[in-house]
Amino acid sequence: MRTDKIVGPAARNLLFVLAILFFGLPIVWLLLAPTKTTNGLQYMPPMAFGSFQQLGISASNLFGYDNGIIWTWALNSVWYTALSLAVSLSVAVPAGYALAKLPFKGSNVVLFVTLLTMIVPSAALILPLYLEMSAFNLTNTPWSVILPLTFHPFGVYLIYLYAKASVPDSIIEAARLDGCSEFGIMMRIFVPLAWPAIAMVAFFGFVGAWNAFFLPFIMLNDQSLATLQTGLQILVSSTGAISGGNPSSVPIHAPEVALAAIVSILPILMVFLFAQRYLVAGQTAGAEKG
Amino acid sequence: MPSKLATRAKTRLRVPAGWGFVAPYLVVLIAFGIAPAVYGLYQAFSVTSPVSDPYFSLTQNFLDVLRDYRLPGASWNVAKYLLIWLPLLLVVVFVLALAMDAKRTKFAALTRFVTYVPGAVTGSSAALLWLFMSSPAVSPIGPFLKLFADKSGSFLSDQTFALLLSVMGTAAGAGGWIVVVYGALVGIPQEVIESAVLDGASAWDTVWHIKLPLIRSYIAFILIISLAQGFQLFVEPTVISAGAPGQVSRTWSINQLVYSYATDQSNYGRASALAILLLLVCVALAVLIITKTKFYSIGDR
Amino acid sequence: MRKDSTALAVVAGSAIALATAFSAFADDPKAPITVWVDANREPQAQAYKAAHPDVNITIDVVDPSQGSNTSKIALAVKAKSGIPDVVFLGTPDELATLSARPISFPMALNTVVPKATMDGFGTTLARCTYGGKVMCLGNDIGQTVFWYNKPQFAAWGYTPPKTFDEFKALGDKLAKEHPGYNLGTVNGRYGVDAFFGSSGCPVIDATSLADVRINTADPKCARVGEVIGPMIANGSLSTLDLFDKNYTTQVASGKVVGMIGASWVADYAFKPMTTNSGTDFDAKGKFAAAPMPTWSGESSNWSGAVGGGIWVVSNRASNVKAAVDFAVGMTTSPDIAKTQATYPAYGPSADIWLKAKAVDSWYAADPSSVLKDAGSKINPADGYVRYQTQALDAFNQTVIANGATDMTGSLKAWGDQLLQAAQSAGYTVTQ
Repeated sequence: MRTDKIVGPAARNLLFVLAILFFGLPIVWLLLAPTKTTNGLQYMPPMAFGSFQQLGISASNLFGYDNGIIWTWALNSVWYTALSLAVSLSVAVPAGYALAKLPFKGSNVVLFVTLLTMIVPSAALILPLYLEMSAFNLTNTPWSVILPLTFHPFGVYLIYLYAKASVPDSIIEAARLDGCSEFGIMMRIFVPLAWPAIAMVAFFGFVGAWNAFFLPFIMLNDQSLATLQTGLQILVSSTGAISGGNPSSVPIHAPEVALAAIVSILPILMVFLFAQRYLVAGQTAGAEKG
Repeated sequence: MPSKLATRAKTRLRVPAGWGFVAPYLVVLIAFGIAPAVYGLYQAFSVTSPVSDPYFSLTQNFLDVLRDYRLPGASWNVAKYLLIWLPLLLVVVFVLALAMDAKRTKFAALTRFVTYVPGAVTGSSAALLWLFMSSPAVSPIGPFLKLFADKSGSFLSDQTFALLLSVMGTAAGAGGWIVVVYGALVGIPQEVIESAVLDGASAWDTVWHIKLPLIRSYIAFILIISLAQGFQLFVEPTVISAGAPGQVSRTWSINQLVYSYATDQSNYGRASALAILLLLVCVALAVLIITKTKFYSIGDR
Repeated sequence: MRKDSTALAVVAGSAIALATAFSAFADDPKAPITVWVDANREPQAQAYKAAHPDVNITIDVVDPSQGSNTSKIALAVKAKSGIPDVVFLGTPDELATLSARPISFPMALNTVVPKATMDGFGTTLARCTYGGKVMCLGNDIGQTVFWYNKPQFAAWGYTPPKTFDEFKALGDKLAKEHPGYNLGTVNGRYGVDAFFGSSGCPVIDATSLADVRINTADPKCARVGEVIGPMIANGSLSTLDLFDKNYTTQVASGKVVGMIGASWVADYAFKPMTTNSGTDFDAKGKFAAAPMPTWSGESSNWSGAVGGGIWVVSNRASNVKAAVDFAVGMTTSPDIAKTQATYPAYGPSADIWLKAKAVDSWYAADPSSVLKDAGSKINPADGYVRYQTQALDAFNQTVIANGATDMTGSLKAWGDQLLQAAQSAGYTVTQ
């Protein structure tokens, strides 16, 4: 009713249609790409469907490469991500909550430093992180990837912002007067209220870890430890599938890369749809309690 | 009596409680945030040379990068990019998020999902995707791109490249921020909006005077991070030049120059020096935004 | 460990030699070796490993793209652990960075590889050599020849050019008689390595790890500009990368009737780009190799080199024999020669490889003698330098961007950027 007065439903839906066209076009192209040959991508209409037969060829080339090592990479991605996400969430939620609701001397410093670490150019961190991991003999092990990923400043900030803006102090004060422990307040009062923010942080943490490239790329040499992102990058740059100029007889070309892209974003999309339910669920919870 | 005791107990308890909650985070912050950053910045003072021993100098690496013939061009490129991309991104993010919040329909949820997807495509997959999107000969929007193509048939030239990157950066970056802004809008207590409407506020009024002010710390956060991302533009031009070699300089942006020092030239000193200069710009802007928006004091209004 | 590195740092100039000597003494024939290869060379490495069960070999598949191996090796050297024993470099110019300080990675191979084997690599060793020390073994080479569409040339009454003046005249004729067709591309390395490289224009002419000769005003550069400038202007040379989608469509439709191109261009560009390409054109049975044209004033038709990988052995290897044997095995094995994708750098392997080309019906004529001849004529002026990527970038920003209008000015602008890039990389530049 409110905004409808100026931006009617028709105008709003038109806006959404335009957005879907703009953001969706590359994705539809990507979905269609594995059904064509490398040359087909060139001579067929960009939005045409190739053939299921070609899709099968792309799939057997990609999944058959090196006895299906892509599944090893996918599995690595899954467990590196799951473990680092579990730790980063259990670190970020209390931190974001306390920085907003239990401020202490120096909490603003922690916040500012957190912000700073988010804007340090990552190239400056390659060497130090590598030396750090090497000092503990962790390079070329999964831990060299998992441990640094547990640091998720973006998540801390989102929790902080949400706690500041959307969770009234009065509720926490009331619980405190009821004799709740500080930890109990967080678990029983804050966490249920902050589901939308936690879901969002979990989602972004998931994407950050899943799509992490430079970290595993630097740390890992053993191909059986590679993640989906690094494994594919090494494969693609070996075969010149995208930029050409690297003569190769390995059958990984543009259609296979497109299929690999679909495989690697599918988990993200599934997690997004899952997390989106909590965004909506949070809305009703907020309405009831707010 | 009991309540007074409780208050006193609380004030005594609060300080350690806050620290306790933050402590695990402090560990990872120091180990994987502060320590590498400090060591990385320290590298800026270590000068390596192919022909002499490494030595310490406060200024040498900084002078070397400031004198680099590629820096002026890269800085100008980043400036052009920021001028196009940042306004475009902010408009797309806020218009769509506000529209989705105005009426939370299934279609709005679908739109939110679709806007997010391009950003999920990264690395070599993104190189493939954007290569085909931006080559007039094979792109779904080829006929449109051909209007801008040069004699050789390529669309990627200095005139159009910043624009292309801005569109690409928006396509890949807007979805994530839409989720954040939408989440912030959803977090606004319903009764605040309702009472404003009862007071006769128009839809514009609620947006301008209620919603946006209430999420202004989010806006400040998005501005800070986006400005930093813009100044540190790396992924988009790298992805395009991986797909279309020879069309675009490998050091089109400042941060690509940083990476070129770190990888091609194995010169971490210069990489760190330029990273520090970039960081200084970003920090100055962040401080400006924080003081202008009273970022940290929203709860104490 | 720390002691070693101090020792290395102290004896600056001869650090590499010392380290080699040191590791030769410390040689442990039982120590495991780690090799880094790209995905293309993994099967051969696995086969080698299977054939040598007595050697403990770890094979890591790494990214061969520019700068990747250098940065990973630099990190390992800095951390003093995880340094590979043998590395394949798909972008061989990285050797210049790897050889210089502070990394000082490669082992001089001329003292550990038998002379007879070394001789098999012929002139390809020139680029691997710094101050008399051979720092790498060639895997494959991308010597340039003139590829041309034989039936199309016959139909139009054209003949392959013997000199670059004829090449230019052919371009003029093509532009007039058949606009829309072209004779290849000069973007990036296709221009710098194939044209300027074959002419001997001093742009990446490293005389040592710290000295380089750059002079784009040299007549050997000017004569290239005089050929390609007008040809860019009239469209008979393209300025797009060979793999740019806007160019592959031209290859696919048969618009590219000739090209000064590397030995791999036929197999890995023309062939895949024109097979089932959705156009009437298929290059099968059409392309033949003609000898490189001769630059005016030269007595020999020098070739350029576009691409070609190398193998490098670490001077920190603790099992020197196993490491060197692996590198030699990967470059000289007759079995690998048969399956190798591109022209082997090792002479006897090249002969095996060429046998298959000689009977390959995809070509319009047997290219083997032309390829073999060109392989021995790569102009020695080019070397591996630490500013290779900048050299190509700067070329595209100057000559490719403006070359058609003001070639002399563009060459000068390119030279200015090259000078700065080289000095920034620690070179002493002479003209």
